[in-house]
Amino acid sequence: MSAAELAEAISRARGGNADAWGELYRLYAAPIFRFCRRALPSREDAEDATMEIFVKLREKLDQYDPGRPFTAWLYKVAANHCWDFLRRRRVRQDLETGEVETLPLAHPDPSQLERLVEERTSREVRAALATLPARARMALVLRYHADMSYDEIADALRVRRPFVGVVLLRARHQLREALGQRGAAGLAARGTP
Amino acid sequence: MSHFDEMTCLLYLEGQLERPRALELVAHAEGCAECRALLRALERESRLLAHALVEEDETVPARLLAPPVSDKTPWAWIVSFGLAAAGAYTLWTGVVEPWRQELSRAGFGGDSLITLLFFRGVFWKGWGSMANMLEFLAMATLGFLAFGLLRRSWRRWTTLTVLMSTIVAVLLLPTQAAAAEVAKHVQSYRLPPGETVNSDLIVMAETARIDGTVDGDLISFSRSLTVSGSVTGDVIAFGAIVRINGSVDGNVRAFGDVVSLSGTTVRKNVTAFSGHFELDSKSRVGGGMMLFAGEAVLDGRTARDLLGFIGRTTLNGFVGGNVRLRGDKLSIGLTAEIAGKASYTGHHQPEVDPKAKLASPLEVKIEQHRPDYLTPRYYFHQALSWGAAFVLGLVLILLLPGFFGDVVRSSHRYGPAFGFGALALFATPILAVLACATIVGLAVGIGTLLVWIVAFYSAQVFVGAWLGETLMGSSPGAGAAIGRLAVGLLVLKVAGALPYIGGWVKLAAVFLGMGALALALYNRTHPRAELPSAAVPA
Repeated sequence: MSAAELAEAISRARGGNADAWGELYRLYAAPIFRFCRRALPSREDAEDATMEIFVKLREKLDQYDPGRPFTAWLYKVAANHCWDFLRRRRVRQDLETGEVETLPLAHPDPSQLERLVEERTSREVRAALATLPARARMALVLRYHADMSYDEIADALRVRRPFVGVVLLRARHQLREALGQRGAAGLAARGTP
Repeated sequence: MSHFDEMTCLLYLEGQLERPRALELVAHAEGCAECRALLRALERESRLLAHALVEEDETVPARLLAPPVSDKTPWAWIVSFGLAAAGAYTLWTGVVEPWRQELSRAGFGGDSLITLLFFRGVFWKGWGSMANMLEFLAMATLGFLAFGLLRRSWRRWTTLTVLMSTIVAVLLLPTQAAAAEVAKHVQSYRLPPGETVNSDLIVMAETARIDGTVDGDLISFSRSLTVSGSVTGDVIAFGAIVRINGSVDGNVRAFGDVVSLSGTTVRKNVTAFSGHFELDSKSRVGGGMMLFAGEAVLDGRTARDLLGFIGRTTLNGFVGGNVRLRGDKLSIGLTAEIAGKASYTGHHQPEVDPKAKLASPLEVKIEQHRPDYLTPRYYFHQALSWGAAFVLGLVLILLLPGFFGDVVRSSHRYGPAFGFGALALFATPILAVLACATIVGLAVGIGTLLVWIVAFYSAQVFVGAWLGETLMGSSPGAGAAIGRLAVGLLVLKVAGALPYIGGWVKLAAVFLGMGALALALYNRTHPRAELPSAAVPA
C-alpha cells in the first residue's frame, strides 16, 4: 500500500468506513501482534493485547495527527497498552528509576562483547530477552523493534528523558548476563575523560 | 590514557550525544583502538538486537487474521446460540429432567444439579473430623500448585471463570456436619452388640462389623462390611462386600462387588452400584430403589419405585410404585407384585410368570444390537448427532480458537496422540475411581470423571476438524475452520456408521481425539522454551 493509499484508507476509516478499517487491520495486525509477542510474557497475552489495542485504535482514530507517521502512532498506542498491561500484572517491580541512577559507568572488554555477539543467534537473543525484567525488555523492544525515539520511549515508559539511555544500557547488560556472558559484562572499569 | 565510558559510546551510536561531546569522542576514537573496538562491538550488538527482535519467527494466530466485525450483525453468533439453546433445552427436557425426577423419586431430591450430583451432601458429613491438618494442607498445596500452573498458561478470563465456578460449587455444597467418630486404618473393626456410638461413625478397615447401634450416619471404606445392628442415619459403604442384616433408619448407598440386604429394614431409599445385588424376601425398603448392577435378585418389598440399570434382573418381591428397568434380561417370578406401571428396555424378551401380579401389562422394548439402516429414524439420529458435535465444535472454535487449533495440530502427531489417548481413555477413569475410594479425593475423583466424559465426547470434534484439515487443506480464518469441521465431522459420522468397521473407526477417533487433547493440554502447561538450554546460563 503506497503512502497515498494509506492516507486515503486512514481518512476513510476515520469517517467510519468498515472496509477501510479492515484494510488497516489486515495491514497492521501482524506487526502489532509481533510487537506484543516481544513485549509480553506469553503468546496468549499477546493475542489478547492485539485485539484490545485494535479496539483502542479504532476508538482513538480521531485523535491521530495525519502529520505524523501512522506506524509511530500505532506503536505508541501499543506500547502504552502493553506497559499498562504489565503494570496491571504487577511485573513492573523495576519501575522506579532509583536503581537506574546507580548504574556504574564502566567500560566493558570489547573483545568479549564482540565474541558474545558473534556466538549468539537471533533465537537465543529472543529467548534471553524473555527472561529479562519487564522494563528492560520493554525498553529494548521499543527501541530495536518499534524503532522509537528516546522521547517516545521516555513517554511510553514514564521515565525522564535523560534516563532513557541508562535504561537501555542497563537492559543490554541484563541481556548479556542472560546470554551467559557475565564475564563479558565484567567490566574492566577504567576512568572517564 | 583514559577512555570514553560505555554509556557515552552508546549515546553516540544512537545519535543522542550533543555535538561538541560527539566531536570529542570521534577525535579520541581516531587515536584509540580500544574505544574504536568498543564502538564497533556496541554497533554489532545493536544490529543483532534489531535483527533478533524484528525477525518473524512465529505465525500470527488465526483469530487475528480477520478484522473484528463488531459493527455487523453477528448472525453466526445468533445462530450458534440459538442452536446451542435449542440443544440445551432438548437435553434438559429429554434427559436431565426425567433423570432428575427419577432420582428425586429414589430419594435424591434436590434443588440444584450440583446438590444432586453430590447426593445432597451426605458424603460430606464428617469431613470436619476426617480431614486432619495434614490432609487439609495437602489439598491446599495441590490447589495452590494447580492455580500457579494454570495462572501462567491460561488466559486470565478462563482462570477467573474456573475460579469463580469452583467458588460457586463450593458455596453450593452443604455445610459440614458435626463431629464424627473415626476408626481409621485398623485391620478389623467391630462395634459389639449393646454398644452405641452417639455420632456419625466413619470406618476405614479391612473388615468392619456393626453389631451395636450407630446413632448417626455410618460411612465405611472397608473391604467387607456387615451391619447386623442398627443405624439411625444413612449407611454409605464402599467395599468389596457389603452385607446389611440389621435396620437402617435412613438411606443405604452402597458401592461394592456384592451388596446384600438380608432380613433388613431400610426406612428410606436404597442406591447400589454393584456386581451382584440381593434383597432377600425378609427385607423391607420404605422408599425406592435405584440400582446399577450386573445382576440383581429382588425378593423383598420395596414400598416405592424401582429404577434399575441391571444386566440380569430376577424380581420375585413386591414393588409399591413403578418399575423401570433397563438391561439384558428380566425374569418376573410368580410371587412378584408390582402396584404401579412397569417398563423394561433390554436385549432379550423378558420372562414373566403368568401368576405374577402386575397392575398393568409390562411395557417391553427390545433393543436392536445393530443399527437399523432402513429406518428414517436412524438417519435422523445420525443427523442430530452430527449437529450436536458441530455445535460443540463451533462454540470451541469461536470461544477458544487458539486452544482448538493447538488440539487439531496435536492430532497430526498420530503416534503420541494415540498413545496418550489410550492412556487417557483407560487410566483416567481408573484413577478417578481410586481417588473416589479415598475420602479426600472424592471431589477430585468426581471432577476428573466429569472432565473425562467431556473429553470423551469432544474427541470426535477434534478428529473431525483434523480430518477436514487433512482433506481440504488449512486456509486461515474461523469461517474456513468451521467449514472444515462440518465436512470432517460428516466424513467421520459416515465412516462410523459403516457396518463392521464403524466401531473401530469410532474407537480410533476417541483415541486420537483424547490423545490430541491431552497433548495440547500438556504443551499448554509445559510451554517449550524458545531457546536451547545451553544458551541460558546455568
